[in-house]
Amino acid sequence: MNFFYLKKAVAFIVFLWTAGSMIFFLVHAIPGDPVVAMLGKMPSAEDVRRLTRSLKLDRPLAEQYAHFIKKTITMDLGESLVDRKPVADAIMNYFPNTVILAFSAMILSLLIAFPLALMAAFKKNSCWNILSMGFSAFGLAMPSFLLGLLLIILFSVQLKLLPVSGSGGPEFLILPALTLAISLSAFLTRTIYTTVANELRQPYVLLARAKGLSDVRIFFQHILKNALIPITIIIGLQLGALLSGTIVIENIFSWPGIGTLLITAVRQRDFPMIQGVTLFMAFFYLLLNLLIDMSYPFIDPRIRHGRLQ
Amino acid sequence: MAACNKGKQHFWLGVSLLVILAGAMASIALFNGTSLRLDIQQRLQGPSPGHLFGTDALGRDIFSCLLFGTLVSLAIALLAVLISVVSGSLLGFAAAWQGGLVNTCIMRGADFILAFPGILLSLALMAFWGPGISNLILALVFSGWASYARLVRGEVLKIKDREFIQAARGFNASVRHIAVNHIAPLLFPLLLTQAVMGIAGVILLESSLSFLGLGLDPRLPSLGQMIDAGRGHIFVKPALILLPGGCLVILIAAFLFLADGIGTCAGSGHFAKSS
Repeated sequence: MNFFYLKKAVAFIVFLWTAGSMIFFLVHAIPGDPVVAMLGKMPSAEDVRRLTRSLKLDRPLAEQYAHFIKKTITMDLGESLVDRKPVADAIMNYFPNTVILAFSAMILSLLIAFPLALMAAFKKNSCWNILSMGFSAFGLAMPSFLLGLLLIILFSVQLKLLPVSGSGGPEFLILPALTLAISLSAFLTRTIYTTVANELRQPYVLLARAKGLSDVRIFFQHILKNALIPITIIIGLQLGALLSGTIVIENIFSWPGIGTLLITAVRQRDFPMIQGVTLFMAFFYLLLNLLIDMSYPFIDPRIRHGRLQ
Repeated sequence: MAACNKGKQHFWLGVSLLVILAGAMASIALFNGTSLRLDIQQRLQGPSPGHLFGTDALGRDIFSCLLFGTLVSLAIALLAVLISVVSGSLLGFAAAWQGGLVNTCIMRGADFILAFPGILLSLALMAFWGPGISNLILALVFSGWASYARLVRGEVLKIKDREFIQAARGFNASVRHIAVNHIAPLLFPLLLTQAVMGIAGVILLESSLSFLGLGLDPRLPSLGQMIDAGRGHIFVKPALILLPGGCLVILIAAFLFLADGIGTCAGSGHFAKSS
């Protein structure tokens, strides 16, 4: 059992280290002189020399790499080239907004997906089944950025109910969270449906039915416990879609999260910022996955006692 | 067999979506001609006989941009998926056949890639490399090969000790002969399903990257770039978003239906019976 945790923790550290190294070497693999690429068109020789020194790019590669690893471990991600402020501070300022957006989208998508999937699974061959499968097909084929723009056209341009973009009161959160939630729940609906429909065919459900239990009790007392593991796995996988979704969605709605930070940095060729944000995203994503992997034994006693892997 | 009938419906639905899209585009192109010429005085015009869908903010014919963008999206997706499938299959086969260190290196690499959402990897690569067609395809292949490698490795491990492979080895057949003549035909339906699904995924990924300005050269019209450019005129002319958006959804839906159809029927076809 402890071996399970150890394996996950080692994989986490190795992947994080690989991601960090990849990002480090990507900066060095920029075609031509990276400093010239950072400074844009026609930089003066003095600027190039100063930036090269300050980024320690005139040092041997091994020394730079050691320096990079050391700094990263101490949470020092360098300074932005644009405003000379620490990258870590910018990430910490922007990150809470991403969490708010992602969290509300996740809750919203569960609220959409569970009822749809359960109605479809319990009432097969009804209009619920067609509705929920149609919804999930629609969501899978619809790129999230397009969905966001369609919602803007509908709610902001035509109906003039909600603001187009920006941040401020809760009304600014509605459209981005809804967009993300719809694209997430498309996949979620289908998975919950498959899982629950699969459990419904098990003998224990037949027994529960024979005892005369209602559908509601069968679901909450019997099916939910068994279906929770596949659903948790999918929600964990969805965190990836959520994180990458926020990059695009924040950009559409000018929501001040780390996705916006990343894309702005890319447009300004602010390489320390790009490096810091991508590394942070990789770290956060791996951390979430680690936590989810570690939660399985708590959710399912069969895994806790080593009878199911 | 009932599942396969539904699969067939989905397959033909996917085919007809593609045929309708191609037919509509070809007929308009035949009757109206296409040109990507900039004509800044004709910007944001409504539909007219010369420009069936009007013109965009740079005075380009929207229909011509749509046609060009759709073809480019499709070409990039097909190329990226083809390269991913070939390289992923070869690596997956090598991992399963050789085992040992080769297996460890290849599969840990695949694990790493699959540990991150594809868009994050491609986005990070494009952020450092800058937009461009070869960078884009490389970035898409980089995040794409791993799932095919994992699939092929799993299947090859399942069949590599079966009797017909042992028989072939007994006849002193080369690894290449076994891979091409004995293993590839068995894997083909699975790989095809995954690849067609992959095309839909790559079209989505490519358009998201182009939408963020990190895909193709932003001056070339691609579907994602057109949607991005249309955002500035969302109050004046929503068609600038709706038209490329519609094309994109039809393309993605068509490939998803195709993959669904192929997948359902491949599972109940004669390949499954023989195994």
